Amino acid sequence: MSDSGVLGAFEELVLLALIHVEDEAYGMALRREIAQRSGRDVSIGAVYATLTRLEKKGYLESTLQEAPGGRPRRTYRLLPFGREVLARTQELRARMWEGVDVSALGGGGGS
Amino acid sequence: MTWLGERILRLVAGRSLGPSAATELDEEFRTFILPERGTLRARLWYGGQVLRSTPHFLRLRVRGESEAPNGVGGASGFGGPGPEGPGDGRVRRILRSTRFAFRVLRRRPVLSGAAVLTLALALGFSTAAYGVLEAVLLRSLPYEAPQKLVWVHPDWPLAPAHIDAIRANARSLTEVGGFERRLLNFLDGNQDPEQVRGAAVTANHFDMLGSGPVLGRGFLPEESQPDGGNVIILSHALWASRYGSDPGIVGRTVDLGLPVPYTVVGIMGPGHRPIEEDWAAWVPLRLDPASEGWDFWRSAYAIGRMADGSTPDGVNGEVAQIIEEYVTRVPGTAFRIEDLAEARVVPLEEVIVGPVRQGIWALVIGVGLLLLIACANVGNLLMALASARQRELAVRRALGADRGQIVRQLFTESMVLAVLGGTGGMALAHVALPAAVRLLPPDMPRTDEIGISFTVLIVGVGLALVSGALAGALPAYLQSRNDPGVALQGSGRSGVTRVTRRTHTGLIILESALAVVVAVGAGLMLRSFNAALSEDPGFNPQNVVAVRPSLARARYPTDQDRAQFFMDAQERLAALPGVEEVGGILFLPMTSGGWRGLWAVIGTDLEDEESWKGISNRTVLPGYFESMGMRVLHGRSLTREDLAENQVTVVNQAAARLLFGEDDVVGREVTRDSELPPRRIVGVVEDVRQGGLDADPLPEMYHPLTAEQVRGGLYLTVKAAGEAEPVLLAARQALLDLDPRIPIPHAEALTATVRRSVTMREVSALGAGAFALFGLLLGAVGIYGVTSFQVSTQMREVGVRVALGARSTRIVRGVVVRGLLPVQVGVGVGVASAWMAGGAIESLVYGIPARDPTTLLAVAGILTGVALIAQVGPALRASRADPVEVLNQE
Repeated sequence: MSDSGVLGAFEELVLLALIHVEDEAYGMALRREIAQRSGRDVSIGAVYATLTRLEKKGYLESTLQEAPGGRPRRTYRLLPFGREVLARTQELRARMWEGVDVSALGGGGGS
Repeated sequence: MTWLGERILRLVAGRSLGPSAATELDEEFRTFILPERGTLRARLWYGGQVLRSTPHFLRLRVRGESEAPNGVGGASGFGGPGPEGPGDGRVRRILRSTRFAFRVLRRRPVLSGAAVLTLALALGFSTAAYGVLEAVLLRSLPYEAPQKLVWVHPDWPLAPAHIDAIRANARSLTEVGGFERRLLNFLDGNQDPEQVRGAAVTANHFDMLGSGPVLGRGFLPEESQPDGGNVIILSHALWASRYGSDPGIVGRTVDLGLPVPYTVVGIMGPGHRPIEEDWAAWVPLRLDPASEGWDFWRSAYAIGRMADGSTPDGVNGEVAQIIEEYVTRVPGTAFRIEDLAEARVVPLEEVIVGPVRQGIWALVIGVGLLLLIACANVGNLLMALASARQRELAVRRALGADRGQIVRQLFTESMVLAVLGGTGGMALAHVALPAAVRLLPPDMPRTDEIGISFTVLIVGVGLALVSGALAGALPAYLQSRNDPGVALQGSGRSGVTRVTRRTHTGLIILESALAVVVAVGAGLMLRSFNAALSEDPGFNPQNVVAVRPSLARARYPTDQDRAQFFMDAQERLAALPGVEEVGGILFLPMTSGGWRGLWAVIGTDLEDEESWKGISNRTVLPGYFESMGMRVLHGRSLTREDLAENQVTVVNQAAARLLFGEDDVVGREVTRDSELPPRRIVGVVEDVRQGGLDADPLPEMYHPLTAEQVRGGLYLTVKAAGEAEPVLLAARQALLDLDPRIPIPHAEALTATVRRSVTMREVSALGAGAFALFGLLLGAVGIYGVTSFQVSTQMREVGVRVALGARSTRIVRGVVVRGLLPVQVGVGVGVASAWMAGGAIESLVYGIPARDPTTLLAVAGILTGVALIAQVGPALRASRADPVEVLNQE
């Protein structure tokens, strides 16, 4: 929760999506990216809530721009701190997964 | 649908995130989802996005407000919303009990589902009804200071000269304008020749209404002079459909089939509301000073703007005086002063929406009653739910939850139901309202303005909250009063107190009474419609078609040409295969139009105004009575020979009685003007319901067609030997063969025309029927719910009785009798209320008394039957109770 530097699962998805979409980084594009890659139809509200939280933590910043047609659109950009946290998360995950072979675990463990 | 979602999204997401979230969702919806999934599924997706996003946004905002470090709600292990610390934010507390309420309701899906569905239907109906009320009655007309506009004397047209006199002399009116209804033929443009309704108006017409053309200009004062230019202003819709919205049309001429071309000078905006629903073009009204009298064919109406401080009554007095002076000064104007003295100056708004006012209020009251039933129902369901949770609540009280917390929790549950029901209701109204509007008769005023506006939405939300409060208040209060000790003792009837049971009974009485009132209203509407349908129109519409060609003056310059056309047409139609008889009339029964004139009997004192009686005049081609199957009661019908002579007439029974006080008046003479030769009555025909199946017949006179009377064009009536439809097509074609350049604005089977005259009744009967069905359904659900709840609380008692040898029939009877009693009381109260309210709906009812015993009895019977059926299930369950099992459960 605090700035201990590890991301929650959905936060991680949002940040990764932000990197994937590059310039088109506004809420809906992120939602679409996540939906396409994960097959989960996440809600725009969930994406926005996470983005706001991440912004407050200082991982990213947002600017209000005009979309084509003159309507407002909020675009997000990853900040260095965010990139650092993302890297740390990846590292942590990698360390945790090291040597784990799920398929070899067998089914007896009470799925 | 999506704009509703967008509003909700903006509301919950707040000012900083709302606009961008809404924009993006909309963009995604349009560019990706809509093409991929199709309209319906895309809309569902949109709705789903909004619903699922709402909690996220709300949580975000609550956290943002309180800035609490620990955002996870502290739901306690008891499954309650948890203890409330003094530092808890109010919003947070509400959120927490809301979440808990959701959990409680989800645990009883059938019960909560029924409650939500009930509320959704009732709120949907109510919101839609409010939408109608707001658009038609509450919203002021789209004119400048509309409350100051009055229609002078809407029942009887004035001569243009009278309007001029009023304009010159009336001090209580700051402005006076006149108009005449006109039918205009459009022969050019990109569509077939077409006839539209329009008006000739004075130059100040648009200024008076506070609206003006969006393109070009309005009329100039000199254009109202007898030799003013021939100019025309088009409605936005006509401009779009006929001239492809070409702005270049302004300044060009259009072909109206008149001897001179008309120049388009202006186009009205799409928002302009004509005084009468369907006007599509305007020409200047010529106030010809030479024609001072009341010209037979000139029937103008006056619109005025009241000066500050004047009232319609004041204007009325002044106008009557002005006309009286004028008539004295210019004798020979056939205008009866008493008609004016009793005449009214009516607010314009009243003329436009007055006819539907009562019907709409009836709708709103009916829907309001439904909503009350729904609230009573949900209240009952919630009480049942709360009683079943007696122990849980008692445990929580014992663990220190105070009364306020319990009440708040129960209240929150009903509010959650109301919000869910309200959301469903709004969606329902949004979908159903446009569909319902399409069912309304086209001449109903202001239907195009009906919709879910922002105000309507707010009212809908308000209604939902009030319903939630109503449904939740009583159960919450009763629960809070229950003594936790009793419930915890583990025995007794699950702690159901006598107060609770009495409240149940009271709600059932209320619900049954309301359901009776709604159903009686619906029954009356249905029976009225039926009564109107079975009314004899005075003619036989079976296999009769009517066609009305509209002759362009350029091609038929003289009245003689026009008369000749109709006689040729009659011959041609009569020669068609399958045609039995052809006649013609102006105006056809049950179509709007007609003119009234004053007639007096020769031999009475013509100086005495009492001798002159108002009678509706029709012009007919011989063959009319035969084609319509109208019976000639005395004397003879009209023949071709009468056309030339033009000195005879046929009256209907009502006219004979009005003029002579008797039926057989053949051979008597009447006059319209002491200067003209009198007319001899050659026949008396039966009365026709000219105004519609549910309108009383008027005194009427049928004159044989003469040259000067065909300016308006006749309806040709064709009686077919067999089916009407092929004859209708053949008749149309025969007229076009005669002249391919004529618009045929009316071509319809007479049965359809007759049916349309009661469309309003049909619509209200259908609507009211749907209400009643819904009301009864709600009543049944409520009664079922309460009975089965009561049975479940009495299981122990029943078990004891079964153990002691009571027979199952006795048990069933006991349950049913006990359950039926409050229903009977409610039915009694409802019947009494319906009886008392009967007077208020007198004018909506036709052909039956407003306190119709048949309807009252039938409704009482049906509701009792429904109540019986609703109780059978629970009663049987009680009778099958296994004493051992029941007693062991405790």
